[in-house]
Amino acid sequence: MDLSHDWKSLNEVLFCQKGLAKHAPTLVALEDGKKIFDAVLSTGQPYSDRLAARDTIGELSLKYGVEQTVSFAKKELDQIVADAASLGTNYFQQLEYVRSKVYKHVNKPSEIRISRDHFILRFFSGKMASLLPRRFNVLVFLDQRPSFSSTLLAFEHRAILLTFDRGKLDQFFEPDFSSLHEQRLPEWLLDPVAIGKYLESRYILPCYGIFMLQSDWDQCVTGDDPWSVVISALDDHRAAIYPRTGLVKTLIAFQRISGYLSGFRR
Amino acid sequence: MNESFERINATRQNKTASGLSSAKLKEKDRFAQAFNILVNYWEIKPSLYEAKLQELALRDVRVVSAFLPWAHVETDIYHSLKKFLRAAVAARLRVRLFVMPELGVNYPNAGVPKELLTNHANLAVNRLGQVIYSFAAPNIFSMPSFASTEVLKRFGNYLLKVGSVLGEVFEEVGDSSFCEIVVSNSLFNYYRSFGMPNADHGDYSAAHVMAFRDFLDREYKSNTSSAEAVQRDEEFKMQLYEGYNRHRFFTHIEKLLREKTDMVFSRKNSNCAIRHIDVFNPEASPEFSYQGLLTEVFDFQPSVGRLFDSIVRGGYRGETIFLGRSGVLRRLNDQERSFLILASVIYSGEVGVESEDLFKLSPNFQRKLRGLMNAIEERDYELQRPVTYVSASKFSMEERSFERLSKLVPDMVSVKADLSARSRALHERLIITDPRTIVRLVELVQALAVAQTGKIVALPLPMKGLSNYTVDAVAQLDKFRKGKDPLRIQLGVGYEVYDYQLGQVVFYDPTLFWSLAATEEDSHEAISMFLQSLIGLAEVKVPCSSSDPRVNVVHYVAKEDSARRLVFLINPTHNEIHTRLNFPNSVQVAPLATGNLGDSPQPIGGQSFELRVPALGVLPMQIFDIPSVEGGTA
Repeated sequence: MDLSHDWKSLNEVLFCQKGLAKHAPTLVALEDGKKIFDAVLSTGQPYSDRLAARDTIGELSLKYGVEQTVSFAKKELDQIVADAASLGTNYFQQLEYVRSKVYKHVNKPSEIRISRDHFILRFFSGKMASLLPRRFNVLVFLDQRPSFSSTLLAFEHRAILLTFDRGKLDQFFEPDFSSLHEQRLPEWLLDPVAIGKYLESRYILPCYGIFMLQSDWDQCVTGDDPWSVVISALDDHRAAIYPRTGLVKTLIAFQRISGYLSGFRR
Repeated sequence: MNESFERINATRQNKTASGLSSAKLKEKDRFAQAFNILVNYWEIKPSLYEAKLQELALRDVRVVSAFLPWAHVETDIYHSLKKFLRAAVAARLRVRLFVMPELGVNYPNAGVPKELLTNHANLAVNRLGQVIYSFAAPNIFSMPSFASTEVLKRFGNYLLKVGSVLGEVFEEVGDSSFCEIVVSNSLFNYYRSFGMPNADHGDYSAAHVMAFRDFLDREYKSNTSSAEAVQRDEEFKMQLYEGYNRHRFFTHIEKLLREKTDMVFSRKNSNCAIRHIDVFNPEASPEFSYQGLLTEVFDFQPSVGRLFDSIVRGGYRGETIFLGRSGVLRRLNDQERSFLILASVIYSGEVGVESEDLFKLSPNFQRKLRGLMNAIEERDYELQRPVTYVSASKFSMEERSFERLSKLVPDMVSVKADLSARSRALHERLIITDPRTIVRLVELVQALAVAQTGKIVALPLPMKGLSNYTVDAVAQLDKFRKGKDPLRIQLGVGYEVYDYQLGQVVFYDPTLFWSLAATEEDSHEAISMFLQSLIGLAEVKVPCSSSDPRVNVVHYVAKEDSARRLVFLINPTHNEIHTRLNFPNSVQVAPLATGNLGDSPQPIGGQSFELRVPALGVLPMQIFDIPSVEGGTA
C-alpha cells in the first residue's frame, strides 16, 4: 500500500462513514453572469432549475423549502479549483483550501456551518500544535470486536496514521504493521507501547496513539462531547493512549476537568 | 454456476474474444456478467491477496475485477499485480483487468502519473481553452489529453509492462483463459466542463490540432478529381461543419487508442480475451462535477436524483456504470446505495462495484439481487432499445430532436457513433441519423445495408444551397432513387419512404434542423410530429406508461418469447409514489418473485393497475400478453 493520501480510509476510520449532522436546509447557488448556473441543496434534493435568472433566487429558496441561501460566482470557484489542484494529491487539504476560499465569497458565512471537523484533527492542529514536535504521527487504532480480548480469535481492526506537519494534516494512510509480531495488535490494550514504539521506528517520527473499541469510537464521532467518551473508556480500561508522558497525563487531566465543568454547567 | 465473460445485453456485442473458445464463453451466470466485483489490489498487502480472494470465492464470486492504476503499475516494486494474479489462480477465480485510466479509482490522480500532469502541453482543455479538471475523489487534478504524444508514449509503455506481467504469469500457470482484459473509453467521457452543451464535448488541446487537420484531409479526399468534388470536400472542412468533424475525430481517436491497446494484448505471450466496453462513473461526470464538489465542500447530502439522471444517460450511451466508494457516493446510506446499484444494473446491464461495498449491504438485498439476476437469466430477458440515434459521437446529438425522441419513447433509445453492422441488435427497429451529418458514400452504403435487413433507417436528404453530401454519395443516392416511386409525406418535416428489400429507407429534409429562423415552439412541434411519424412507421410502441412522470418505466423482453416481459418501475425520489400503470391492451401482471423458491404470486389481469412504488424503490413486474378484450382496473 503506497498511498500517502488515502482519502477512502480517512473517511472510513476517522469519520466512520456516518451521515452528517442535520443543519438548516441550505441552497448553495453558483452564479454565472445573470444566471444561476447550478445549485446544490443540503437535503440531497435534486436541483433542476438550471440557468434560472439570478433575480429568482428568493423564489427558488421558497420552491426548495430552504432556510438559508448562499451564492457565489462560478468563475471564482473555477480559479479556486485550479489553485487547489496545484496542492497535489491531498484531497483533504484541497477541500480545506476550497472551503476556506469559498467562505470568503459566500454572502453570509456566519450562517453556514461546516462540519468537516473532527475532535482529533481539531486537537492536534489547534493550540496544541505549539507544544508538539514540528512533524509527528497520530495513530487511530480501532478494535472492531464488541469487547477486548487478547486472543487473535475474530480479531479485526481499522487503523489510520495521520501525519501532521506544523499543525496541518499532511498525510493520512493505513499504517504498515507487517513487521510487527502478530500477537501485538490483538493485545493493544495490554501493551500499546509496543505498537507506538514500532510505528516510531517504522516511520522515524514521534507518534501519539489512541486505541479504542469501534463501538466507543462511534460514540465519539456522533456524540457532542467526544473527549468525555474517551476519558470514560480510559477509566473503564476499554481504551489506551500512547505515550503516557507527563504532558499527555496533564492534557487528560485538563480534558477531565473541562468535561466535569461543562457537565456541571449543564 | 458456470463462468462467462460474455455480456447478455445484445445491444453491445462489441467484444473481441481472442484465445477463448466459444464453448467456454457460453453465457449462463448473469450475476457474474452484470457485476464487476472490484478489488483494489494496491490497497491490500500482497500477503493477504489469497485470503481476500478466497473470502470472495466463499461468497460465490467467480470473477473478480480490478482497475490497474497506471502509476501503480509503473512503480510496482513489490510485483503486486503478479502476486494478485497468482492469488486469483490459486483461488480459482477469473480476473477482469481494466487497463485504461478511469476517474474515481482510489489512487492519486486516478492513477495518471503526476509527472505527465505538470506539463501544460499534456493537459486536456475544453472548447473555451480552459484546462479540464476532475473534481471527484481521490483528488482534484487536471486531466491528461490522449492526443498528447508524451501521454500516448508513456501509456504505451505502461500497456507493454502490463502485457509483460501477464505474459510471465500466463507462462507460469500455463493458462491465460482465467484472465480477461477490459478496454474502455477511458477519459473520453469526461472531456467537457460542466455547463458546456454536449455539442462542445471533447478535448480541444493544441496537441490534436495537427492530427485533426490530417484526419480531415483523409476523410474528405474524393476518389474523383472533378472540380466539383474537390470544392465540396473543401467546404466540408469549413467552419460550418467544424463541430461535426470534431466529434467524428474524437470518436476516431478513441477507436484508435482502443485498437492500439488491443494490439498489445494480442501479442503471442500476453494473448488473452479482450472485451470492449464504455465505463462511466456518474460522480465524475461533467454534469455532476460542481454538485459533487459543493457537496463535499459544504458537507451536504448528495443528490440521488442527479446521480440517477447520470445513470439513465449512461444507459442511453450503453455504458457500464462504475460506482466508486471514495467520492461523494460514500455519503449515501445503504438504501440509496442499493437503489443506485439496482438502477445501474437495470439501465446499463452491467455495473462495477467494489467488493466491500457490495457485501456490506444487507444480506436481504444481496439475496434479492441474486434472485433478480436469476429470474432475468431464467427467461433470458434483455433490455430492448428499438430506436437508435446515430451521431458523430455519443455527445453530438442535435439537441432538439434527441430531447423530443427520448421523451416520446423513454428508455427505448440508444445513442451510437456509427452505422456499422457490428453494433446492430436484433430488436432494433428504427435508426435515425443525425440531421447534421455529412453523408459520405460509406455512410449511405452502410445505411442501405442495414435497411435491407428489415430495419427502418432515416437519413437526411441532400440540401439545396448547403452541401451535406459528398459528390460520390449524391451519385449513389441518385442511382438508388432512380426508377423508384417513394411515398412522400409532409408531417412537420418532409420525407420520402423507400421500400428496400426487408426494410425501408427514409430520406428526410434536414433544413429545419439547420434553420435558426424557426421559432423554438414551431420547430419543436414540427420535430415532434416528424419523429412521432417515424416511430409509427417503425411500429415502435411504448408497452406501458406510468401516470406519474417521476416513476421511470423500463421494459425487458424475453429473447425467445416476446409475449413475456418484465417491467421495472423505478422511483428515484425519497417519497413513496402512488401511480397508475397503463397498458394499451389487457395484460396479466404479477410481481416478480425474487425471494424464496416456490414463491410465485398469482397474476392479475387488466389494462390499468394502481401501484405503490416505495421511496428509492424498484418494483419488478412480470407481464404476460393475453388475447382478452376486456379492460378494467385492478
